[in-house]
Amino acid sequence: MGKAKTSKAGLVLRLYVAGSAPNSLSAIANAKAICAEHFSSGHELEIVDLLEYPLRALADGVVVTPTLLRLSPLPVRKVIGNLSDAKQVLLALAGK
Amino acid sequence: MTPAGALGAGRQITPANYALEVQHTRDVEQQLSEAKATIEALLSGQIDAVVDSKTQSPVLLSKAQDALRASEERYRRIVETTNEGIATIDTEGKITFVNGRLSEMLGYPAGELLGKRSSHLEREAARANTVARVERSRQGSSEETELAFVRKDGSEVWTLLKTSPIHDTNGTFVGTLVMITDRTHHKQAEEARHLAVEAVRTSEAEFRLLAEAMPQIVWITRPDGANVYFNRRWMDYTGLTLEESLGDGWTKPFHPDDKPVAWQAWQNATATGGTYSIECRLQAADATYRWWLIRGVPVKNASGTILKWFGTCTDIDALKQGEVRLRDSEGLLRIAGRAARLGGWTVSLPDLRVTWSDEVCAIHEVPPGTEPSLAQAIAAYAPEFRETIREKFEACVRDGTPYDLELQIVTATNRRVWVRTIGNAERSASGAVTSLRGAFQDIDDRRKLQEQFRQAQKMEAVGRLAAGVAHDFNNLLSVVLCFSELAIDALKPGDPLRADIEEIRKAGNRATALTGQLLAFSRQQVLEPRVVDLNDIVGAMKPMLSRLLGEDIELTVLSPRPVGRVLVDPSQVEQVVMNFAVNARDAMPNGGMLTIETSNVTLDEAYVGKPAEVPPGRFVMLAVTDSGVGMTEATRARIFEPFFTTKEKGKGTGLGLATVFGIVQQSGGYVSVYSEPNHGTTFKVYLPRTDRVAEVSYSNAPATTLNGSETILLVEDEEQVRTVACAILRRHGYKVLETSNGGEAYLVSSDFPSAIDLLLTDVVMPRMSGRRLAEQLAPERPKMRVLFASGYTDDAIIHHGVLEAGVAFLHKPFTPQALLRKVRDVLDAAAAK
Repeated sequence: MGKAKTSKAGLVLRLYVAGSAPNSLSAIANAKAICAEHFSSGHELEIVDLLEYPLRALADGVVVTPTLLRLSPLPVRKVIGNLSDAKQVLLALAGK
Repeated sequence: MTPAGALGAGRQITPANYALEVQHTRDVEQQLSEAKATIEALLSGQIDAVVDSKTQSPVLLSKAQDALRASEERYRRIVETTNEGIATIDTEGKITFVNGRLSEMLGYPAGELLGKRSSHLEREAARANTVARVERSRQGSSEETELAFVRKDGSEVWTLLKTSPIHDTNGTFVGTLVMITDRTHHKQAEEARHLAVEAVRTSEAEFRLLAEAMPQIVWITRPDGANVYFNRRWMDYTGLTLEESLGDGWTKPFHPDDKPVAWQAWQNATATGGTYSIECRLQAADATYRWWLIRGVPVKNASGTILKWFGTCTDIDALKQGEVRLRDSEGLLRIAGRAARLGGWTVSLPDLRVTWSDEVCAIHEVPPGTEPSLAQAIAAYAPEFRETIREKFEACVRDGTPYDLELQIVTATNRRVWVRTIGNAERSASGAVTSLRGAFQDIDDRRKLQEQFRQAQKMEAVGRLAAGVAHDFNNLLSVVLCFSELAIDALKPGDPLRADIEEIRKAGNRATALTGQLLAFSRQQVLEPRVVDLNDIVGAMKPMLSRLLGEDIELTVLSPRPVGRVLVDPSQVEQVVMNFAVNARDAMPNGGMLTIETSNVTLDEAYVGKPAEVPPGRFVMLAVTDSGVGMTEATRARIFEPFFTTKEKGKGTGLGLATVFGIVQQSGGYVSVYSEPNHGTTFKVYLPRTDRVAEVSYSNAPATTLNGSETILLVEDEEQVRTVACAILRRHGYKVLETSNGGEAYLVSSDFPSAIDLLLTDVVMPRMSGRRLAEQLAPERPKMRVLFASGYTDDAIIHHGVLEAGVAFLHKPFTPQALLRKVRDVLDAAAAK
């Protein structure tokens, strides 16, 4: 069913992390694992280091890392944390 | 613009913008949801970094966390290593944190404590307090309290609890911090201290109770002498209040004489730390003094410093008084013992240790305190008594037989002394003899007096015998002498019978002399004292003495003139000199010298050489000294005893010196004798000097005639004497009224019409004495003279052997010559007046 969604509208994700901080590293790993499993094709995952682009984070309304943004489909959704709870992450990404 | 900016307030919701508003609401919800997620992530530690909205720069949370973690670690270490129990309790009273020390303190694993209500760790009864405390904490108060927790194993742990509220940065109450200190040890120490205090308080109470109950005074004094405690007894006795007695008030009741001694004793005791002990007088409330024994002991700390003195005062007055009385009575006993020469001795068994009192030592003439052996004590007796004392002593030791003996000891200065020794056995409870005790008295003086008394009694007895015999004997001799004389007169010269009768008369004369001597030594002789000059008597005797002594003995008479006069019976003094001369002659069988000396002597107490037997006074001394064999002490002691003689049997009567002694004593004089074997003997006679003028006796001039014609009333109970006297008087011309007793004489006198010139009466007669008769007749016949006739002294007419002045006396036995002369003298004296 996730396939259907992703194919219908392209999934664009942006993950803000803070360098190689522990939670950030786990969030990157968890995000890639979830995407690979549920959105094998038709998704974009951009990883942005807050320490390098703090202004981008501010522009996206991100104040803490790790924060995962669903930029598309709209509305924008945010998932905050190290994304260790995959179920919670999928629920958030699926929201309208 | 931030998405949050779309949430700007004050936007009007209108139908035109409803869709926008819905969208906006969704956005807000979205934002809230994100915020919540952010917070949750933050809280769960999933956040690495945040963007500081003010600086628009990122902040890595991991660094902050590291710092925080390091800080936390420091605190954790502090919290875990501290000896205090630490916990946090939330607003509900549940435990949110405990450190290791607290879980150890409470005996629970840390995990079990978290989430527990703290109040459940307490005793049921205390829980309400805890709840209240949490409430007070909520209101912001910090507290400190002591309470007991119950450990998991049920035991209690006493703690000191400090609570303080925890507020967050906004000041909101979020819980309570609890710091817990284990007070169990402290508590135990406290309890021990409490117990100790209690024990001290109890023991002090017990001490006071004991002190108050004691019959003695009890006191406590500081080392400086200041008193800090007295029991009731002190106040009761001294009448002082406690306030008056404390400090140095205790010195007040001391007797002034005892204060220096008490102070000295106190100084010594405090200086040496020894026991204080003194006997002294304390004044009672009624101002009297009693003796007390005061004792104190120092109480020292571990290092030996005196902290205080505990003491008592014990009333020893009765004891002390007893002691004083004992000392007094011992003193009295000692004085009495000395006066009576009486001491005591003991011999303990079985060691036979001898003790002598001072007086016993004095009697033995050894130093006081001498402790002789038993053998020495027995050897102190004169040899002839040692066996006796040994036997008696042994019997007393063996079976307790007491003894009471009079024996002689020989003292250290070799004097023989009579003693009385009394021995008694002391027995133990079982009856065994444990010691001997006895008295020991010098009775030498008593024995001497006894001896003298015995001697005097002997003399007295002999005297009475002599007097009794003499009365009858004199009558018989009067008859013999008178009739033999009458017979001679009747016979013609040359008649052969005349010589025979002459022998009878001589025998009669010797018998008369003997009777006279008997009466003389027994001092029963009648003396006719006159004031005479001794030189006259001695001078007149010289030729007679020379003949008596013979040619081998040279007689010297030293009679310096003038010599004092004496009142004596001259014939008796002649007798004394004669007796001395005879003894001297017998003491000088091979010849020698006899010196007779007279002199005046005045003896006073200080006169050196005054014989002990002579009292002070003025005397005329007659000394008779021979150069004969002398006498031993033993002989000298007995020479005045009647019938004592050193001469061969038949040579002496043993009456010579006894007669001298009797005569001198009867004359109021004294005799002393000094003699040494082979160095002769000196007798000294001391006769009291008189100031009266010497008289010339008419008897010295014999009456010219023995005849007379006067009427004589003759009273004589002895018929033969009466007959011969009557015959003699009638033959010489007298008219004689002859009666045999006083009553008859009285009747004859009454019936006789004419004058009676002389009453010649015997003195000693039955029923009425001669003296009595004379008194009865005197009123009727005032001119009648009286002549008494007697053989010995009798108090009827004579006092102590000396004739009353003016009383005429005819010695029995008498010769016709003596009778006639005496009768003529009395009648002529009457006529001369």
